[in-house]
Amino acid sequence: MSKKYLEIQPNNVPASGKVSYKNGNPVLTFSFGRQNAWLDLSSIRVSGLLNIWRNAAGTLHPDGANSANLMASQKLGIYGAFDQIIFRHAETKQVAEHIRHYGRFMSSYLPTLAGSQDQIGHMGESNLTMPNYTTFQSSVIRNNCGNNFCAALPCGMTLGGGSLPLNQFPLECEIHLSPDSNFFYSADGTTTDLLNCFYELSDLRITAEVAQPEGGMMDNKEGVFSFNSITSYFSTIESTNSIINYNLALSKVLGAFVNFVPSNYINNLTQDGFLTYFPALANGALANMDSISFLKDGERFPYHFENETNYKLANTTSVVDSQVIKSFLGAIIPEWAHHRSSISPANSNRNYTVDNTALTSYTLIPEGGGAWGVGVLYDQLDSEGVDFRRSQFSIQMTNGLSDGNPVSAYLFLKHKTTIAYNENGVQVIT
Amino acid sequence: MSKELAQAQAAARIPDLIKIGEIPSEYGQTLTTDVIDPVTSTQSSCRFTLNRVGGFLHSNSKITLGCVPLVAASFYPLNTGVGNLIKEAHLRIGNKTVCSTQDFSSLHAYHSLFLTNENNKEREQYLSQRAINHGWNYTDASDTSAQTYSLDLGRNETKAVGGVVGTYARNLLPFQVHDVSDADTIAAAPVYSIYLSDLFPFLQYNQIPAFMIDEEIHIDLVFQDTNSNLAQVANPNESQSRRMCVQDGLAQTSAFQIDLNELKLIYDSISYDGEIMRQYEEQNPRLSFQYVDYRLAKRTGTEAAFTNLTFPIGGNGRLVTKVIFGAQANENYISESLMNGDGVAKSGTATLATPSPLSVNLRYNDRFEFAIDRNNTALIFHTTGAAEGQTPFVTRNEYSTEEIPPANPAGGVTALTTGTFEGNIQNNSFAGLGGNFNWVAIKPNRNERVNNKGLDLIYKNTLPAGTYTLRCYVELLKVATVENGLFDCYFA
Repeated sequence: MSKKYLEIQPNNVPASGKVSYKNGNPVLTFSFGRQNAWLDLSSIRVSGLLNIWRNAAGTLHPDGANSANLMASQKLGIYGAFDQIIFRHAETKQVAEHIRHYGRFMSSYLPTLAGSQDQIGHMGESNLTMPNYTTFQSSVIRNNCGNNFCAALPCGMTLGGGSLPLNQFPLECEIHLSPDSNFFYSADGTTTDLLNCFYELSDLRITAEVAQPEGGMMDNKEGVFSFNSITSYFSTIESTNSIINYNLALSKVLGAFVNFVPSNYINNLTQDGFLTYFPALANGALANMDSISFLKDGERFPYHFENETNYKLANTTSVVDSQVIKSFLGAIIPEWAHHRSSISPANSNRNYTVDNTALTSYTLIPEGGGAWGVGVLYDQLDSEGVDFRRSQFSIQMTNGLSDGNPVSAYLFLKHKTTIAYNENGVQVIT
Repeated sequence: MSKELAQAQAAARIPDLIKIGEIPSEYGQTLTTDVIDPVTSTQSSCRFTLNRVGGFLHSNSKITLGCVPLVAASFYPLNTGVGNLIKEAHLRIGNKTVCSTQDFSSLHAYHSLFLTNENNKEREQYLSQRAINHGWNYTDASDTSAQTYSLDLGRNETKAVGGVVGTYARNLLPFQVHDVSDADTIAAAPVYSIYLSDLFPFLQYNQIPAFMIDEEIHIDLVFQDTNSNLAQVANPNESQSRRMCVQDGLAQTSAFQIDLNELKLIYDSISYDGEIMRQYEEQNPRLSFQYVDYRLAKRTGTEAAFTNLTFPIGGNGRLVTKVIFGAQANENYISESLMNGDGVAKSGTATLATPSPLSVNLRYNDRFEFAIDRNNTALIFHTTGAAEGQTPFVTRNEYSTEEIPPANPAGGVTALTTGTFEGNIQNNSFAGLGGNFNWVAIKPNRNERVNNKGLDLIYKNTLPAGTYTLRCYVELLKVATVENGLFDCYFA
């Protein structure tokens, strides 16, 4: 079977070839048309040039004197610009996979799976990450010649290892861009010189490899493929006994994890909306977790005990609870498959304040910034998971959130999804 | 069960022993290690000969190499390590050339991109002195803020220059330095090694069934020239050392000599239970396997010659599995540097108007590989990784020059530090690492035999003024056979 490369430009690029949320292009759409070929989903890359401007005309870059406090998430790089990812049938528009809060998902996913050398090295070239806030600011935000990127789109479809028959399933990939006020934040909490700043993408294209059968047409009429997908939910906690409840309607749940950010930081230029650190009080002090329980239908499951953290036992400790962070990592990737990570005591301990005007601001967290969350792994073997079709999923957390400060909790569920397709369309079975 | 059936079943259980990774752990192995001297050796070349090895020749057998110190602090290029000493590598069996690589150190530089930085820090800097790994240069009065990163081999910086940027002078670990100061330091000069599988990359996937071959196996190495005047350095206007790099401020023209006393082949031969070896030989009266070999095409010219180049690189009538290329600048052939020449792949210069100076494509069988020339640096980086099946472990500043810092703060700050390593400025483009890892690989994936017109490389680059050599390695598929004790090989 011979292969060939495809290079596809977005369907909806304006005449200037420049795309920005600020100037009215919040959605990118790429279409792989119906053709006699198998699409290698793992080869999909989005490439282009990222420019960051400090004036509305898009002619001046920030520097050490102008918009000097402009920052973006150093651990996300270009992924900070991707808010949602959708894969759908290009003709019937039936959705095969849709990940909302993609930046929040990647905020936990990338540090979990990439080491520091990866983030300084090849991910810096591909995705524009740079896991130190000042180096990121000087090399990406203030780069005068723009930043080339070529990013994979980690999600179930692309990581599942499958090939898609484009003769039955022409594919459309849709990327929703983040607002500038969420992509950027202020390094010192002031926004005076940042209001005109925006990011701009150009030279956009999606590249992929397709395999073509030797001679003749593809004769497949129907097919099925499975992958591990991500479903996200958004919730808010604001009490010392915080409970998150959902009826998931998912049949094969492999794991669940949650990351937190104060609600008033989201889509707010003054603070980092991609922060993944502890819940916090209004003054930025940490609302430490005392205990965490995961429940299914009101029963503790899979652990039949409450996880009491080291903070509850000794409230002067700054050390992260090892069981909580281990469960969190395990929920994203099973331990047997986990080889590289940049999450360490340096970026998950309790040494910092959730306020970028404080002396111990979260912006100072090294190794890519804060990386904390809670999670649970349901299936060590990455096999069939747990059936939550008719069961209630709950997380109960007792914590120090005593002032009612709303904290957003982004819940991500890793679950098996099966896609069946035929000449009539697509069926997604979760 | 008939005897024939039992024999057939026993034979079917014998795994493919030449394929690394297919041998079950329950097979009892006998590993024999021999250390042999070269049959001939001079300062320009050497030959090792293996006679009737009693098993499979282990691909991780090593050749040890070293140089005699001539200055107070010299070292091998950090990207290629001791592999820099080898200019050509040939594997010959009987009178057949199995594998032959010209300008080996350049190809070795490309292959070294795919070693993880952690592996370099924890292993390779001790074995071969390949030492590309990164750490932060924290600014003064901060243990979290770093405007730059730096080479980091595990040794603390020796001198803080100060300032916000945090530029530091860093050095090699003491044992790595070749020091001529006295007899003790000369005797303590490190001896490194290089794997046979590094010299002949196909050995990463296959082991040579040497016990089935009646012919002699020769490993021929041609050593790097001692000096080069490619850089045309004005002062001193003398030829530069090629075999080693030197610390800033030391003599640049020393003709480093290979320490022939340390030149050895340490080879391992693996054998299994005699019955298994016999059955394997019976099962494979004609053993055949595929492997790859490299052919070099190169072109030298000024920067203007590479602005819009269509370069015929060969491969006529062959199955080509990969094309690897990079441009070396003459100005990089200086010994007061961290890379010294061959291993460099020079990036073009990014500007505001052309943030991606390089544009590449491949044409064969009258069609282009890419519908549109690839001219996004990050996409070219990905193309290289996809061709190799691994990610290159280099940073953005090392791969390209696409960072133009603003004038404010004064002078700008690049992410790769302006601090020094062994006295040489790290982000410098001729003495350091900046933009010097710009190797590109393309995998022709149409699964077609190249016609008799061959491959054309489309290479358009905006290089700084100077003289360059574009080296292009074409990876060709070959077939090897072993039959009646005779080895043969031919292009697939």
